[in-house]
Amino acid sequence: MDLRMLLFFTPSFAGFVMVVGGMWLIYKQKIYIDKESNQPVEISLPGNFRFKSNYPALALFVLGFFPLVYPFHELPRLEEYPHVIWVKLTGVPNTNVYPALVYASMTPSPVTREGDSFTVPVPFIGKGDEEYKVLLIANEHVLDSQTAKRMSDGNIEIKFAPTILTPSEFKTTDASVPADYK
Amino acid sequence: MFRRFAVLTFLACFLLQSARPQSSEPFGGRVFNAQSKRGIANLEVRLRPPRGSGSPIMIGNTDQNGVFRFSQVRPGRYLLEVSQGPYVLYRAETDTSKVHNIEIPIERR
Repeated sequence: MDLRMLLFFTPSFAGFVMVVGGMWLIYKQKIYIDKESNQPVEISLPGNFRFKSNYPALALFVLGFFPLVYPFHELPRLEEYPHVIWVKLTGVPNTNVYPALVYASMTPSPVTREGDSFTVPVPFIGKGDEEYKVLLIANEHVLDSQTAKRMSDGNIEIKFAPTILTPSEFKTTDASVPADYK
Repeated sequence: MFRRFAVLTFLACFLLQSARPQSSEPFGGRVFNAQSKRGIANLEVRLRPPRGSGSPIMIGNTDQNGVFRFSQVRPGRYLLEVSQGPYVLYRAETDTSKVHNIEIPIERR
């Protein structure tokens, strides 16, 4: 069993204990402290505040209900919380061009024609104000790069600068990259 | 005793021969306009070895005569690509152990 699921249902278990405990306290009549009158003890506080000794048991019951139910309410949305594991990509570039930058993307989104939109799912690692740098690459040439922060809906919208390249005066090749070289 | 010495000497020679790095050789060529036969300048030429071969990727540019040259290329198969910015004009596999100079005609649109 995933440890995270155990943690996820821990509040639910705590809520269950609070609800059952509250019910048990009420059932066992632990609310009656004054045995002579067989009535809940009423306590008066300065400022004309009063509460009865059975209130904590009722409060325990009511407060326990929320942590008991909430994890079950959120259960269908668990898939929206992917299991993020920190993985470091390490290596030593062997080149004679410095400075160089190393970028990584698991699922780059191809854009094959004008008007196509792109969606690149990325794990967001940070506290919320970090910026993502996104590159627009064609044939391993960086056409544009933009940085952007998360928006209120939780996603990141990238607005690339318009890139207009002068078409080559020569014919381009249709030969694809052989499998050995990919 | 002599026989053992001879075997060890042979093995040492064999290992030394195997460990010697493959000699690098120059590789070059010319990229030219197929119609006018004039060389095309400022094109990027890339020699890409097969994945996992351990050989470096060689990147160069054509001069004003369309000539490019890599001075030290390990013999073997490479993917030769000629591009103008993001446009790939030529892509083909070549074996630098057999071909040391290549002529690449590029057609105009």
